[in-house]
Amino acid sequence: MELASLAGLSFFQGMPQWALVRLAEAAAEEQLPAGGMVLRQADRAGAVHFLLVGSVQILLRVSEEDLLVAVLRRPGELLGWSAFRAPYRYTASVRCEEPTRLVRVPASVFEELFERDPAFAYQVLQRVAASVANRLEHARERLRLPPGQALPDEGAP
Amino acid sequence: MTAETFELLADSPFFEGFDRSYVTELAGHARMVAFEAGERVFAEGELATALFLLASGAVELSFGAQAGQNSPGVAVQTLTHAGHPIGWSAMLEPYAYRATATTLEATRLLALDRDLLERQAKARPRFGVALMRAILGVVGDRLRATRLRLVARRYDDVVVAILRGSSWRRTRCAVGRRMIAWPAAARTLRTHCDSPAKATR
Repeated sequence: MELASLAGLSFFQGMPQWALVRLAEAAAEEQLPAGGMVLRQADRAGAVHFLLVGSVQILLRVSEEDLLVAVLRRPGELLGWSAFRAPYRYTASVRCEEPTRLVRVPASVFEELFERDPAFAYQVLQRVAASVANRLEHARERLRLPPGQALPDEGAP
Repeated sequence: MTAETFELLADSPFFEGFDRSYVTELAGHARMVAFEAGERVFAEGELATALFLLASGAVELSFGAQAGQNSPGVAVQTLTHAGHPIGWSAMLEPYAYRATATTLEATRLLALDRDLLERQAKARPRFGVALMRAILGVVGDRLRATRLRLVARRYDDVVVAILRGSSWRRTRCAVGRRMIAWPAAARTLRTHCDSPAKATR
């Protein structure tokens, strides 16, 4: 993937050039159709994705049903944060709601860079945690709405 | 540093896997704070200056209370396990507490000031990495728990999910008045579901 495209994603802004170069080398763009699965709950979290264009559904498996809990549509949105924490298994599934373009970065490349520079690791993990915290805040806001009005959109453009 | 402080930190699931030397260092700077029942530890929106670990007692987390509008807010979680972290927002921008913490009984909390944690993270970057992974774990568990509550709300008020602790495996749900363990709760969710909100909208 081109360095400039990766560096243009809000998640990577202000990050050191040497790290961006390595991440861009390893990153690959993916185009998925509506209904295409980005990642599946309980699978080993081997990659992190970033949304470029389109929208994705977050699905939570309860018993044998995949239930829709959120829709993300903001460009740059991070998908697959479980790649950064034990037990390194996805805690939800992600499915494309419409034709969607994403960037896929192997988690092993992040870990390689973390090993090289723990200060970079701190910066990345802090951004990942902040992203998850924002989703938590949206989810809590929806809890305040009367039943039936809790819309799943968490990422208006 | 007291032995109690060190043990609380060392035994806390939050600091599990941390290098012993990090824990010793933190224990030397942590301070124990005592609260009576019904006291507010911090309020949603306040500047988050410290991360707390529960030493004893019980703390309720809630959000959305609006002063002067007779809105009590929504209770998110009751924390009773020693070593449980409270106030993770102290480590994430914009450094404002994202919930209100109120004691339910006489409670003691171990306070770790943000300045201290950030200083340690800077001086010992591997500690910072471990700390941020732990924060991510707590926030991730709470996101999952909150989404489960949202799912449970879809079931015509029959099911109210009460999530305790941060661990998915320890999740228990109250269905009606019966306490049942997961995954029995999940099966019951399905049983009570006339038209579940499936993946397609």
